[in-house]
Amino acid sequence: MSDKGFSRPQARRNTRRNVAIFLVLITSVMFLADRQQTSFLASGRYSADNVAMQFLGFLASPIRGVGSIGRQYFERSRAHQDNKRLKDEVARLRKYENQVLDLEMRVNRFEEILGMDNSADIPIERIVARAVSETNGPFVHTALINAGINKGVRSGHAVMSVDGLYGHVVRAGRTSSRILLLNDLSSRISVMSQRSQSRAILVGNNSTRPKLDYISADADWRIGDRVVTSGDGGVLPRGLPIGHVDIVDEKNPNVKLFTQGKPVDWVWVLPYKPTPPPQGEGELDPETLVENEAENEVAQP
Amino acid sequence: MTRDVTVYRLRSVTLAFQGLAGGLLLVFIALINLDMGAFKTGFIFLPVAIVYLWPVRASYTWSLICIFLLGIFYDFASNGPLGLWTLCYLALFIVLGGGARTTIRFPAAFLWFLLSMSFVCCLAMLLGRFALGQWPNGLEIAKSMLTTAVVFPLIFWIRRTSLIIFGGIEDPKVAI
Repeated sequence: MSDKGFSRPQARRNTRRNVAIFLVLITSVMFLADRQQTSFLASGRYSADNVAMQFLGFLASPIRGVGSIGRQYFERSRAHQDNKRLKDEVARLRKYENQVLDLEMRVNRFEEILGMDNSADIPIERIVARAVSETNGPFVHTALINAGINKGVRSGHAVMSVDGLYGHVVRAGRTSSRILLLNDLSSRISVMSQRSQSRAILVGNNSTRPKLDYISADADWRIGDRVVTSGDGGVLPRGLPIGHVDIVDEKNPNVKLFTQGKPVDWVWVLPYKPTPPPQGEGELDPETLVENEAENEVAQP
Repeated sequence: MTRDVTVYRLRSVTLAFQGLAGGLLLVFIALINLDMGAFKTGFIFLPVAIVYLWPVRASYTWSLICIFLLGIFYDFASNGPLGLWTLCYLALFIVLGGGARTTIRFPAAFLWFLLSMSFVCCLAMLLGRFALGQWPNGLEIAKSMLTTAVVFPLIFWIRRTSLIIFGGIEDPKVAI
């Protein structure tokens, strides 16, 4: 008999039960806390990402090899169709080539005359990284890349693949970063139609085709419209290709992503600096600001 | 006598950590996406296999702690709602009352594994609904369950072989 009056097996059973209840309770508290606050135990997530990145680099290779067998089979089976389609596309686009070059020249000239800043919104610098793993589960759609703060990646940076916008960085660790894909449930990107300039928010819904939401009543969206980032909010640069409008229902058109169904191995991060929020009125004196700007203009050659 | 008890306890704790090590390996595999062109899925239910095939003689208390750590790591690494998989695995282990017997035959083990996976699936869907505010993608879940079920025989075979080699099975002839 133990000190508390229980036999040893009974005391052991009680300990087991208490440990089980304690662990279930602590997990429930974590679950509820995480639901309220996304950054709960953030350091644990950073560490897990770094550890996972180290191991997944080795493990992903053979599994990707197996996956590529099936993919290559499908790709080869439709090679003839693809070839024909690409030839048609080249023939169709060739007549627009001169037109585009001419327009580019004219736009550059107009911008020069008007003294506009004609530098591209999309940063020229790119950080190349490898997508170590992609989680396309029922709950989340994220990816892990092998570049972090050590290479200049920061939270909020856009991540591109060869086909288009892949996602954006939600967590930048020391040597790895977590990317939130466009079809994740918590992904919200401000987009526009390249044809009509109509604005919308691309909302991830954990399916293969995110939908366009918050569309104004007079917006003009049509099937086949090319969807690009609008740059509204100053978080992402303007003009990054995303996909095209595929199915239009009464309320929310779907978007077929350019990256959908394509193997994503190498990606690049765009180190775009978001537009900083305006400072408080008390911090800046408008007169001083005007004087400083005038001095800068004089200092420039 | 006291020494034997101490050795037995140490061994049972070690077995719990062996389960954790095996579970972590399966978690890493579960994090990899299988992309076969038209068929794109993952092995998200793979860690259920280690909870079901948990070392029988492992300390129950330490096993609970190890399963807790396993689930937390999976939640962290998969970037999902924190505690979702941990709750599922703890609940499964408590319901099963420990790992599957070493002498279990494959058809029975496979059936029990499918039941375990279904239990975890239902619980994960409910918790996912609560955490995300909408039902998780059912098609993705079905595909993941199918893929995991295909891989289970390999895990079962690895466990059986290691038990035969390291002498953890009572009578190898009983359950081949």
